[in-house]
Amino acid sequence: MLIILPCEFIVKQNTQKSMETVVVTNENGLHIRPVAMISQCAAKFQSKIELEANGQTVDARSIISILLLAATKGTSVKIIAEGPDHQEAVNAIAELFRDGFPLDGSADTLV
Amino acid sequence: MKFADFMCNESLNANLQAKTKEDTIREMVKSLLDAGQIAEEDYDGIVRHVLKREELGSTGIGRCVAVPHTKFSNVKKMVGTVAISQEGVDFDSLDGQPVRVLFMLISPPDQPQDHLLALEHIAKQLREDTFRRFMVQAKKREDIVELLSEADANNFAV
Repeated sequence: MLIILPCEFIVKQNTQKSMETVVVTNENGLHIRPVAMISQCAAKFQSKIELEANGQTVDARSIISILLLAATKGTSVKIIAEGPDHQEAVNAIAELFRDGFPLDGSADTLV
Repeated sequence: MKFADFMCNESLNANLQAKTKEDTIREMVKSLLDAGQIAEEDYDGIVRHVLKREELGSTGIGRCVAVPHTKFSNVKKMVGTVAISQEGVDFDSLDGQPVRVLFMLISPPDQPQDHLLALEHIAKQLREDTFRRFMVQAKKREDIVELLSEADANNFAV
């Protein structure tokens, strides 16, 4: 059966958006390992997810793009998600920042 | 940050012989040793640290590029080298593709911002595909030297 949704409903679904500003707290900033974690986390969601920092906005799924932010410790990063799972996406990525991109059991000394 | 600030031209290798991740890292660290950038007694330690870093997650960032790296206390200034594999190396890359272009960075432990700026410079060049395509085609050391200096001069930016 085909269900035709009213136009405004579709628009509303598509424009649902969440954002949250977080701060880079880990000593080494957004180097490859945290960036890979963000990218892998972002890939789990359907929403379009972007990160904004140092005046640039980049796709949170692209490792190379996030590295371009060169976000050091103390940098503010705005996480913006738009799509069906926008809130979950922002929460999941914000949590990585809050946890300082944890390693399993070892300190962040090698990287 | 520019390539000229940390790349050791004498160690650039356009014809990586290694076929495995471990041998690749050994060959790259050896090129830094042969170029006098690291001390002989540090060779094994640096190889071990770079391999250990890879265990935490591959530095194969996609698009046939990897950035194996580590911090090492005996290193006083960040040093880097490049290797090009003509056949490709399995590096457990995040996109599953073999790696052709490798940038290695060995940094002092207390300068995380330099490491980040070097990564940013590499990422900036990779954003446009031209640089990577030319790198893959490099056949000799002089080709890489020229590409790095053109990248520093922003010649690949659109």
